[in-house]
Amino acid sequence: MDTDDQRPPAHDKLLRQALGATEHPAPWTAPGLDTLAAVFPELLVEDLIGQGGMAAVYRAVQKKLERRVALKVLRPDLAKEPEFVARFLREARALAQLQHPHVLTVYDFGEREGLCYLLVEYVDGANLRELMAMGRLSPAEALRLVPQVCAGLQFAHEHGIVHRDVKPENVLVDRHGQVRLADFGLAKLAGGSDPSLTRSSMVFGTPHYMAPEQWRGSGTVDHRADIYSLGVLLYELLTGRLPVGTYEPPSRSAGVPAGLDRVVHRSLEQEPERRYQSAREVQREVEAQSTDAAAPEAAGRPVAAVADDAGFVRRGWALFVQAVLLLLVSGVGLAMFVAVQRRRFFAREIAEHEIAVRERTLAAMRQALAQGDAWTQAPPEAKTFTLVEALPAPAFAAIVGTWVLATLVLVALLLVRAGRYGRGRSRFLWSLVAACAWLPFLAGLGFGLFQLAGSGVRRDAIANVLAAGFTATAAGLLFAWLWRRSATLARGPEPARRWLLASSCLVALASAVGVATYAQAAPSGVTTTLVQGVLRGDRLLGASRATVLDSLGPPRAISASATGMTWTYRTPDAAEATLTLQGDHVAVAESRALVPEGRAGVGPYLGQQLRDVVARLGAPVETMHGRLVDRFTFAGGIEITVAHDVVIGVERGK
Amino acid sequence: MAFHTTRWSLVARAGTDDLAGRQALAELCQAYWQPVYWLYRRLRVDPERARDLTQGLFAHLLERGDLRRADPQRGRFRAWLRACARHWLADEHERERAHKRGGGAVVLSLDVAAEESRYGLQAVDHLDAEALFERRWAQTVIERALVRLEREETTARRGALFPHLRVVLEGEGPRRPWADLARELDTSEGALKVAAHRLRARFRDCLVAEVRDTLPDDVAPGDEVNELRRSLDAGAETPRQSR
Repeated sequence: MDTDDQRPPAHDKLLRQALGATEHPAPWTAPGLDTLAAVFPELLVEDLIGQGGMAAVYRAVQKKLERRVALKVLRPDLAKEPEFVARFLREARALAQLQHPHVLTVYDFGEREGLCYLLVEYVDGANLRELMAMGRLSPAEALRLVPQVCAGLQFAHEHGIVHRDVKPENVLVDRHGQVRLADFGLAKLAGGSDPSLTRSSMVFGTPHYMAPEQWRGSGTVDHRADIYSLGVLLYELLTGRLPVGTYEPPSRSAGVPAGLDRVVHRSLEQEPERRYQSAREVQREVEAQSTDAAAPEAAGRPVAAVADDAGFVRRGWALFVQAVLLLLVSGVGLAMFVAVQRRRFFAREIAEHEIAVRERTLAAMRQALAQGDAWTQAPPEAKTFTLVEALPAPAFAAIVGTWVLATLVLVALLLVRAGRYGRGRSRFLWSLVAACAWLPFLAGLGFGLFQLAGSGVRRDAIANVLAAGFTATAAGLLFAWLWRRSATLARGPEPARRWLLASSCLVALASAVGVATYAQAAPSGVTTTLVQGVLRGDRLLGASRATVLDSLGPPRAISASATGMTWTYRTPDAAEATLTLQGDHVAVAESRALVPEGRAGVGPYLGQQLRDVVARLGAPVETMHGRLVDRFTFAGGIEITVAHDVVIGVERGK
Repeated sequence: MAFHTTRWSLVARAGTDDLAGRQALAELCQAYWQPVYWLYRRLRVDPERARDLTQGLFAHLLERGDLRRADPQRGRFRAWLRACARHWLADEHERERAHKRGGGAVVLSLDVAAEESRYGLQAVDHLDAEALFERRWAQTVIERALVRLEREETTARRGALFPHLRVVLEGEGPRRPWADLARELDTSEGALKVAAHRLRARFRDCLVAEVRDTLPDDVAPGDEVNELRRSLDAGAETPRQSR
């Protein structure tokens, strides 16, 4: 070490560097579906269902036979070495000879355009790791699976093939509880190709299933290495733990027959010579033990059901995540969309109302003048005009929209739960249903474009197109992405899936909170407007427009008189209450439920101003603008806001 | 450096009565005295006291070969040594009363001063004694791997390159551009990079070899390496609760 350097070395960096290079073999990206479609025209490659350090597995359908298959593609950089390809083809040929119920059948293999591939039987089920992760594999069930593993291994050994990588991930269980052993000999293939890569992963990776002679790299490795791995597998299936160091006998930790301790011990002997010499021996021993003890409860739940469940869980999780994300995007999109729509529709309505109000005010004023009683009387009681704007509350639309969407997605999930996901027609239906959820946005997009084409460039039309277009595109892309990734997403290890679940719940919660907040923020109920004006000659000198925003919902009745305006409500406890806006102040009359709790605002001031204007009629006064707000709070969280927009203009002299 | 019988399994198999076993144990103890020192240092604070305790423990282990309490047949050297150190401390008062052991028995050379100067500042306060032990252990393994690597490089007559290439083991580039360095060392840039790559791979192997030396024959080093990393990470983290 550096003698001149008294500082300690950077231990963690050193360790990380030393391990970093080994723990993760260089990352690689699995070939895309398009690439594969070009390379394998006879296959319909549907989905990437798994990816490891060495190979990627896809689900596919052989077009001609309409047979479901799994396509295993080795990482492309391996296939660059001719020596590797030759070895791969040799191994694969030997593997293709194996025809056994418990060995994954190889349909085809080869090398095409730089891709080494194996076309193998597709197993609709789960691997042992997934079954264990669900915590639903009892020792009795394990004891029924292990003999099948033994049988498969025995058959391969008889044909001179050593598996070299027996581990739970490589033992597949289909819906009928039948075991298939996968990935024969691939470990050896990797071992010789790139020593720096695989040797280190053998040391640092998960060496638990490896026989000592394998990771020592010394001595010859033969079929007895598989026996050792089998022992580890058996121990883990029985106890849920790995036999590391001085391990506890399974009879003590899992309560299985003591005879199994012997099986485990002997399989895990350090010296190959002291282990069982064939998988058949292990099979016999295990079967002897399982008929002794496990027979009674074994009849309970068939492994097939477990495997089936695991298959569902795998797909279900992915779709759950998918659904939640869709919900989130739809919530955000709806909020945006509705906000744009509201501005577009209601801005015009309000403008129209304002014109109408002014005209009607003037007309009424003129009429009053004609009658000659307008300004001579004091105090001047302004003529009252009422307008009722019954606008649909936008928050309501957002909530309904989101709800409808959520229902659609849930219906789709129910379809999945019925176990029909993945088959042609249901898959089509589910896509259709999910697509329907986006119809409103597409409609908005179309409408906006139509508007643009019809009436020239308008700001609201552009906003409409942008909002709807953005939402529809984003959602469509997300949907397509999830659709493709769903299987991969679901294949992660248990903690990853738990993480996914937790984060999905959080996202769902955030989405709900977001929609609720939006609903709260948006004005609800009905907006009503009261206009009062003052006229001299034929000019409008002063006008007051009082807008009442309330959270009570639509009033049961609105009546207007010459002096004021009255709203009648049904309160939450079914009593009736009337609210009267008279001249310059709001009075709560005949109310049993609306108990005023507080009032803030400057409403009364408005009346005073109007009176002042009237009093000084004839004197020079400037034009005034103002917005005065009264806010009334009532018991039960009811709030009524009265906004007075005042414009007062007085001309000099007559 | 071949993967044959590990040092620790030699101890376990031969026992300390056997000369070879004793020799192996002495080597291991000399290699890993620092963690023990810091364990005591954390519990007894005084460097003198910690040194005496450490020395006493090793004298006890090596001279009397008293391995009753912790059976080397079971588990790893690290766990065994930690257990022994704990027991030794627990018996401290009893021993003082008996006052039989000559306090000055020196069986190992412990350069406490150097240790204090290099790690005194690093003795992370928030770690408890055991965590400190683990952390220093991990550091020792890595240091030993470095020493081993340097020795190998020197033997292979590549020693001149080593001081320049050492930084690549920490994942950094050399302090000067590759080209300059290559010119100075009278070699090509490509060759230098290859050498750096090879050095990294060799370091990994040395690390594994060091780790394996403290394990029984049949235990793969993966778990132990992971634990080393955890204990290093623990030292780098925020304070954690003492057990």
